[in-house]
Amino acid sequence: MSGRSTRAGGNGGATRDGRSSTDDAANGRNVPDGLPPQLRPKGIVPTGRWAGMAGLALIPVALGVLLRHPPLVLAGAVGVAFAAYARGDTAPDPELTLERELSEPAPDPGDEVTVTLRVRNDGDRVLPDLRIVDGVPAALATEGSARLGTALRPGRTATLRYTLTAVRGAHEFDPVHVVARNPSGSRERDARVAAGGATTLRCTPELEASTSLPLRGLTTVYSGRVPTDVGGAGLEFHSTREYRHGDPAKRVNWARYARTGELSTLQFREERAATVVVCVDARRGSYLAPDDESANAVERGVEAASQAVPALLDGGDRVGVAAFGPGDCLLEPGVGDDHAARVRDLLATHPALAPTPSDERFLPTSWLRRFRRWLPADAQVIFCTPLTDDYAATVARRLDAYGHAVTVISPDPTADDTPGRRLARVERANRVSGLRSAGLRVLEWGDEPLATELERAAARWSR
Amino acid sequence: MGRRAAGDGTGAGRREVVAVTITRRPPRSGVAVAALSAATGAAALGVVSAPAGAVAAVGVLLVGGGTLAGSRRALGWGAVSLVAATLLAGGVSGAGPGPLLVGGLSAALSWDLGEHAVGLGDQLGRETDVIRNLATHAAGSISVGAVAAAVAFGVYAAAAGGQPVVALVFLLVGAIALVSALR
Repeated sequence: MSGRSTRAGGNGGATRDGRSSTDDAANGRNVPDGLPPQLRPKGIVPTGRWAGMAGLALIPVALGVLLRHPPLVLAGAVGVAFAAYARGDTAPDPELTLERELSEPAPDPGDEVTVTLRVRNDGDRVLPDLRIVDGVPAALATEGSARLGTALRPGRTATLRYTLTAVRGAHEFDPVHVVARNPSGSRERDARVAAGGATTLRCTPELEASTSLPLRGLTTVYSGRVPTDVGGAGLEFHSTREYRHGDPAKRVNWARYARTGELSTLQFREERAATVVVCVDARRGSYLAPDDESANAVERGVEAASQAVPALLDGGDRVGVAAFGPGDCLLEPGVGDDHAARVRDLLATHPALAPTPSDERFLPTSWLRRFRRWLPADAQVIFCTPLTDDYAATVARRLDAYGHAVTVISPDPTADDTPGRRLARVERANRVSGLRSAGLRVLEWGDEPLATELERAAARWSR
Repeated sequence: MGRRAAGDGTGAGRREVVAVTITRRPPRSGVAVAALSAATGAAALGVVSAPAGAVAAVGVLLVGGGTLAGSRRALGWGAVSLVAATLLAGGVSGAGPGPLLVGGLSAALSWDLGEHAVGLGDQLGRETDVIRNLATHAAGSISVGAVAAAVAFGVYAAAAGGQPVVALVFLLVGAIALVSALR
């Protein structure tokens, strides 16, 4: 029930199963493990807990006859009574109204949210055995049990209360799993009931610019803050050239004029704005973390994006967002406060960037074709990917080859406690150095905060 | 409100996520009720017959341990041991109707209550509040058992005076036929 992720490692990269293993907990199983949800019994199910009771009851009866000891027959009679009780008991038909209430429907990440689920018996019969499991969203961790076992008289209400810790995302509650049994427990009814009231928990982190990301030299015609190799108006000295009629007087190289009597003009590096598309690798195989407590690589990729985007927008660059994963998540580059709000909402709540992987099918090659068509010609790409497979490196290299200067921010999800994981780590390191030798900028993001790593990397990168 | 956003730039990246897993163990109160029911039967049988008491004691251990560990198999063997102890007390030691009724009742009830607790543990786990559910189920089963025992004893007291055992048996077989015909 939490945003747990599997460890990176194993064979040829990483374990592929990113799904939290505890989400079964939300399903209140009463059938053996491993049965897929579509095979689980629905409706009225005999529990079989009294099977063979009548037969067993005949043993003392028979023994009583054989040994001519009448009191033994009495023990059999008790068994027959229980068999009759189980047999004659009708299946329950619960009519329930469920109402969910959140103490805070739009919390900040890390905030605790109290969930109150009220269950009312609207039928005219007593429900002697009612088991309720709330459909807690897969990414959220609960404190206290999101389950309740109770008995309800007609018209009465039972209340289930528990606490959730909010994480980024728009989390939809699943229908409540209700299991009702008759008094003897011989039959049960298994149902999913949609609860009224709050069904979504939206947690949208603020975008906070913590660091400025050095961009590469691909720019638009608009002025901004990315230094280019073009001479013109600016701050940093670039070159000198012959004076042309109309050059501003303050850019004339007066020192040289004094020395030689020739007019020449100083040129400075032009600073221009860039178009940047931040692309987060959100494929199923990227939901990886070094251990259960750590955030997975997609979470960290989104975090890197939400730090980079505001810094870029503040610098006057046009910024777009895309997800390399299932579900169409493409936001055209733009500027301004409205755009910043759109980016914030998209990064927080778009299903393609959810904290747990989706089950949708994903074809990376057709995605890449579509993405290239969509990508503006002068756009740089900041690609947030754990680089746990070769295809991510291929995407980066291919985009770079098509002329979109690519910077890779790669959160490191690898561990080193088993040989398989060490192998995965080495393979990833090889991919990183492969990309670097192909001329891409790669920022390896380990345990340090992103700002620190950026500082270190920026000192190394040339313009 | 304190913003503990992941993107605060200082504690970036590593967010503590505490996974809540359900302990698929029966609730303690359920275990206690099942063990108590088994112990009552063992005590009643032990008073009239030592060997039956010994077998029943094994049954109590199996019922208690099986329910605590959430094992239906151990619990089932425990209930079977209680049935065996009842047969032993009746067949070998010739115990009267009182202890035999209590023994049979305790075998049926410890299976019922124990299995109910194991089921609750499977579906809801140990942390969940299940007291109302447990109490309702236990009350239902115990009253059914008590009424059945009382009726059986009443019929026995009225009929066993001069009637042969066979008459009682036919009565029971008739009851079983009725139960099977009921849907």
